[in-house]
Amino acid sequence: MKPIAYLIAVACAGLLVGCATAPPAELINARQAYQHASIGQAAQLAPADLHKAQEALAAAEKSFQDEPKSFHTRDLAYVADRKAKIAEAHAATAAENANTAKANKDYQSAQSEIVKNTKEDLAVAERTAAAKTEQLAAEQKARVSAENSAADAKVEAARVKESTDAEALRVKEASDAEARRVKDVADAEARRLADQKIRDLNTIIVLERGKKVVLKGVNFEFNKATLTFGSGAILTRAYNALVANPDVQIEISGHTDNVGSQQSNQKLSLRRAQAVRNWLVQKGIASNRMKTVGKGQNEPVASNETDEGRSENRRIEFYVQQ
Amino acid sequence: MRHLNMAMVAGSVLFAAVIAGCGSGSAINKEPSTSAISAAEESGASKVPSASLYLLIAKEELENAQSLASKGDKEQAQSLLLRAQADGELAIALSRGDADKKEANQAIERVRQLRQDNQLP
Repeated sequence: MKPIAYLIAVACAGLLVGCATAPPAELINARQAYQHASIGQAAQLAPADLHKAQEALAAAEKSFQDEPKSFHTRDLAYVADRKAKIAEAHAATAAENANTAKANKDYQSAQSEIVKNTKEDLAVAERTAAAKTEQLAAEQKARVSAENSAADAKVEAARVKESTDAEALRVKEASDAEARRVKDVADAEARRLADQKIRDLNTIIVLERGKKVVLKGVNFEFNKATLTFGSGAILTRAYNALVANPDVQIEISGHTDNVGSQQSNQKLSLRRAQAVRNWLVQKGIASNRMKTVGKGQNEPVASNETDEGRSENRRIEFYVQQ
Repeated sequence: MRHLNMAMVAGSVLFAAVIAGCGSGSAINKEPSTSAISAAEESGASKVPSASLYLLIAKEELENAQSLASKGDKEQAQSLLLRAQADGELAIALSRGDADKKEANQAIERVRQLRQDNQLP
């Protein structure tokens, strides 16, 4: 029997009994307790306990019909009241258990979510760490490579330096040897020239009629008719010879080597002869005693193929006229 | 003779009934009520305000039943024991309900704390 139908039946029975005798307080409380429990959550969460309460209340109602004023009726009604309260308590307990179960389920869900998030974070961290490790490895590799390159470069630089030093030493030694050789040659030439100069300076110029005299030691600047500083000594001897022979007439002739054109050499030789005459005139020799002539390259006394020959060909001659 | 025998049988039956009646009324069955009270105490009903009241009532009812039984009113005593048993069982239900409620609250708080600690919605 459904609780509502049962309540209606109990109420009708109560009315019938009430006409004769008022129900005891325990029975009234039991009815109210059962009604409260039946419309609450006990119907769904504690149906077995609610059924026991229903049976207890029915027993109390029957006892009330049979013995309205007996202690037995009151005690049965009291028990029915407590059973209705027990049904409500068990329903509340079931509800709390449901809450606990739901909370535990939520807890597990939260834990699963946390684990999932943690796994995702861990995966991200692992990927980041892997990338970092790869980057560090690349950097380490690059550093090692750079160090190796630097070491190789250092070795190569040392090798190059050693080779360069050796080459520099070899070049220096060769250069020194060449310098020594050049110096020796220069010294030898200098000694030869010095000896020649000494010989030239010591030569006494003798003026004999119809003869030529080469004024060795009279030199000019290159391609000019300017006497060099050292030419003064031999010209002084020529001056002395002219002073010693005041009646002698001379012809001063200039000669060149074959370098340059014949025309330019002709002019150059004449200007050089004039330069000598001018020097002697300035010293006091009468100009009418001297005439000048430019022979150019036409009367060489030596080969123009060598430096020494060309040097001998570049000269000033006195021709003592008869 | 036949009437005498029937009278003797009827007398024997009556005597047996009296003996049987005195035997059943000599003791009351307290076991269900005492068991309920013991179980309520074991479940911690005395520490739960809503349950401790019914536990106290059950004990008083048990004492009253024993008093009635000692005075010879065993029928009312037995009926009163039903009250004591019912109050004891109600104390048990309320005590366990309180424990379950605490457990549920703890579980809910545990979930809330877990979500808060891990910044979950």
